[in-house]
Amino acid sequence: MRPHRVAHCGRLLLAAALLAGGLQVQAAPWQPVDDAEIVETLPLLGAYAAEQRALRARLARQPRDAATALALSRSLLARARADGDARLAGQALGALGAWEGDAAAPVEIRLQRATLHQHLHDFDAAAAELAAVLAGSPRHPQALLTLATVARVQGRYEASDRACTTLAEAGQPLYARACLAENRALRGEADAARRELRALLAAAPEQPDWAGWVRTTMGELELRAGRLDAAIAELHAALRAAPDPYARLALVDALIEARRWTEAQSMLAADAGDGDALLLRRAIVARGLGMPEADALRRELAARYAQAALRPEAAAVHARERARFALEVEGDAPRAVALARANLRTQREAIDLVILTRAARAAGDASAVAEAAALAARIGLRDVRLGAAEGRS
Amino acid sequence: MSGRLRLALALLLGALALLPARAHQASDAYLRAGSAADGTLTLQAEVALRDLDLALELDTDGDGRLSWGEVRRREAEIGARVLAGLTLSPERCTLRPAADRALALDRKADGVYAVLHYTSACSAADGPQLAYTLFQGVDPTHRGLLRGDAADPRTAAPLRSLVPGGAAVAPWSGSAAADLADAGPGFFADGLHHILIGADHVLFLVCLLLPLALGRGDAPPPRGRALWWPLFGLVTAFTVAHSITLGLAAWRVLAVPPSVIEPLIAASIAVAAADNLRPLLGRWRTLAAFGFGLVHGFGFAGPLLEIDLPPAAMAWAMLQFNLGVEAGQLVVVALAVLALHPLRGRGGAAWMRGGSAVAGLLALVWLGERVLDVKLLPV
Repeated sequence: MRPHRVAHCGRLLLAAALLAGGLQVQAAPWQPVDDAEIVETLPLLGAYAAEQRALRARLARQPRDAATALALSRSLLARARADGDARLAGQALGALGAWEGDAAAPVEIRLQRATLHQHLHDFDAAAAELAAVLAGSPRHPQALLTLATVARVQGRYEASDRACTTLAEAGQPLYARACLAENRALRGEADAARRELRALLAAAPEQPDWAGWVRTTMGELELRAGRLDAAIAELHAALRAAPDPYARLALVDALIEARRWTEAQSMLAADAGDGDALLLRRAIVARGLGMPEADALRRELAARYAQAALRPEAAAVHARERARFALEVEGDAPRAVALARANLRTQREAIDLVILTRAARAAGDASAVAEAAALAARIGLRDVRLGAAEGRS
Repeated sequence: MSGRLRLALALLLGALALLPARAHQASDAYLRAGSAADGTLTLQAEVALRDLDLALELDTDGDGRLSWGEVRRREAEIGARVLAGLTLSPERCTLRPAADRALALDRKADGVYAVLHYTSACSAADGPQLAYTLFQGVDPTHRGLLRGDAADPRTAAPLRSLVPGGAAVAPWSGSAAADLADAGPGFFADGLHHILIGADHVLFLVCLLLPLALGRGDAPPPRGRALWWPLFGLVTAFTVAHSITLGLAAWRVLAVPPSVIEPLIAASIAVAAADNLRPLLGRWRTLAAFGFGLVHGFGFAGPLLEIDLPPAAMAWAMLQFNLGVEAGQLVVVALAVLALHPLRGRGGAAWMRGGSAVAGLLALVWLGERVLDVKLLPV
């Protein structure tokens, strides 16, 4: 079969599986009759499972063995990121349980805890943990870089600048410059930031990961400058330098913004995962292309969000994705406005404000448009997508 | 942005490039408090097989998949592991696995869950407290989402999110049985309200007592025992009858659609009014009150049918509701007899005929409305 035929069959199978899954969600509890029937597939396969079991057993014998606890926590967090699985991040936090509320916990334990809080979108807890680490060792590079990022996500650019600047004093001048350049770009100094990032790209020509990182930063800069084609080119360049799932997803989002549906679709088809983030993009693209499985994808995502939302405190955690779902899949703009607003209580990246603006425009809600503009002005963010009605390139 | 940070950190630390975060559900268990027919407490727990595998290593053959056999053979262990996280106090209330409910599975949007049933020897009136500690130490972000045993689902509280090792909660407070044990006025008030706003029930009662209160034809109105005993007899017959059908309907033993009951109620008023104008029923009047009481009982059951209660709680609710109906009935009878008293012997019989004629006409209009499903009158 030719590749596109294979892809088409795969899509039909996926749609059928999603439909079957959707129907089973409604079903009552059941008891299989056959002992051989497979009832669940577990996320940890092969070496990971064995490695984690061994670490767990060792930690059970010596709960305050920091090296074992960190190894287990990092292994779980790595899987949590790969699979987009919040359960594993929770377990990664659990592995550090012996130091819970321990003011004298080792720096590495505290840093891991801060990273986990950030991963779980508890930015205030992450910032507090990092402040405690930096009180003891003010020039810890990892703590500084994490703090710069957390502050940036929260829309506290001055705090982020301070952490970036200290990074230079901590012996990381390149990171400090890239860190500051990103904040300048967020403030709308696109030309200066672009020049600085190009210079940084040349500063370490032998390092593909560095190039990938800087190119991704440049791609996001171009998105905020409203230069979609340049952004897509930078993100492609980032991926050519070093394959990276974050950049992949950023590129998919840029292609969706540009309505280059088939390119977005072929990128998504190459990813085997079924995390909520991938499923959301698949649903958006399926809708954009008018594909037959669009409805099954919409229902599957709606079921997942509905179940996750049963936990009262989870409502705000994935509001960014749920706002996009309401706006770009369900076409429910007023609901998207409400969700985008809720999301801005925890995270204030450019995209979070852009989602509120787009939802508000779709809903004809002028006060919400103004609200997004006012918040952007307050935190100092400049993004052409927040300005007068944007055109599609 | 967290993905960007990871890549930066990986570069900074010389570690492997890490992959991005994708939203996915955290670990939740679903708890439902309830009560059995005899009023003892039940708790259903749904726990993800993934979470149980982490705690108990259910995947015996290590192939990354759970077969039903791998789960079923560990049923006792699974039940005990979850039970260890569900501590009910006082101690005599301790939960036990329900002997008659085997392990089952339930598929949710994020995976397959084990469905476990527990029982306690206590009742809601004992006010037991639940301390939740499931997966404490394994995953501090785990939550137990508890749905209480609400008396009235219309006012049911949202899910309560239990933090492992957090403060104990009272899952059965606000439950039907606990409310009734507290002698809450809810269903009594519902019953009282129901009869007082039910114009058709009130009119039927008034029609029944008009001849007794005002007398028939030229004979003087009855007094003393001749008044009170028949009145008592009529009201008792009506009450006993509607209690029977109210019970049958509320327990869902017998269901008659409103499209049948409502016209029959209107017809019952027309017959009672006609009997006042020209005696038809004679000495069968009390029996007729009983027969029509059976019809009215189905009409009363509405508010109880809207809610879903376990049988024991339903019995309590019904008793209160019925007492409310009786109290309302007595108020109607007392007010009617008092209001009609000045008319006794002063052309009372004419008033009786006139009143009955008006009631009969009204009943016929209602009958027409209810049969043809149209609305002509404001009541």
